[in-house]
Amino acid sequence: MPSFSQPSARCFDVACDGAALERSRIHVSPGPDAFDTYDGFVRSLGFLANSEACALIVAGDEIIDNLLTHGEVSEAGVTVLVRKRASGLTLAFFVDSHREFSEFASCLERVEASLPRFDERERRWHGLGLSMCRNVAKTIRYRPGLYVDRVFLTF
Amino acid sequence: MTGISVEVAERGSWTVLSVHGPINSYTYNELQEKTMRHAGRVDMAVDLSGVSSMTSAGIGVLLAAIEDAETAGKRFVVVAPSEVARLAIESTGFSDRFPTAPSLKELPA
Repeated sequence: MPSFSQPSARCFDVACDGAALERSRIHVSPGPDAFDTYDGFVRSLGFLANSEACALIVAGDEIIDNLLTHGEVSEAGVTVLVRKRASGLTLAFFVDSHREFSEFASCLERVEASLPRFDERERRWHGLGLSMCRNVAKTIRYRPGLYVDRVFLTF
Repeated sequence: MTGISVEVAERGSWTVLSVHGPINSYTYNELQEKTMRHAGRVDMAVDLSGVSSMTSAGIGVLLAAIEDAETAGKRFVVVAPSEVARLAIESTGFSDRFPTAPSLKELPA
């Protein structure tokens, strides 16, 4: 079992059946340490190639960044699951339901909403993170729930 | 929390910003402050070899600096991006907007 310096991080390795399935999950508490926790978790996963870990960090950090800055993540934080199968990688986020994140995440599946654009008046980019996620991941699916919202990315 | 450090140094005609650590919504302010101080005023190189992760918050800062440099007729180069930083830049879909040098030694004269 990997060890983490952050006391808020807990990881559960699930034994794999040969090479059929490898997966691991972690609990990420809200706050600035969330990135350290998540990135450290991904880098500790021995079943990931370096290129796979990089893709999970780029897309996952973007999801976490949006969760923390645009959402209303409760003390319950975010549960992250990484699963590797012969068919590819899945990265899943489970977070308490909240409306603002729903609005962000519902854009993930809309192509036209995720094209980045520069706002001359504000001097900042919009939709850049969405575009990055869509270009790194093969698919992105958002599933709202009564109590838990879920985001699934495949690679 | 792991923060970022942004060290500023002169190298020939270039002002070099060396960034270490993760760039995200919690940490990008220091990078933004230092790029805004120099972008468009000098030829600027941003060394990303020590960047452990980078979200769109960091990408946005770099794009703004590139635009300021282009508007002012100054040069801007990203230097030796780490694998994660390189993938983050590529994932924007317009990595051709980011002039890149493989190392500080190979900055244009």
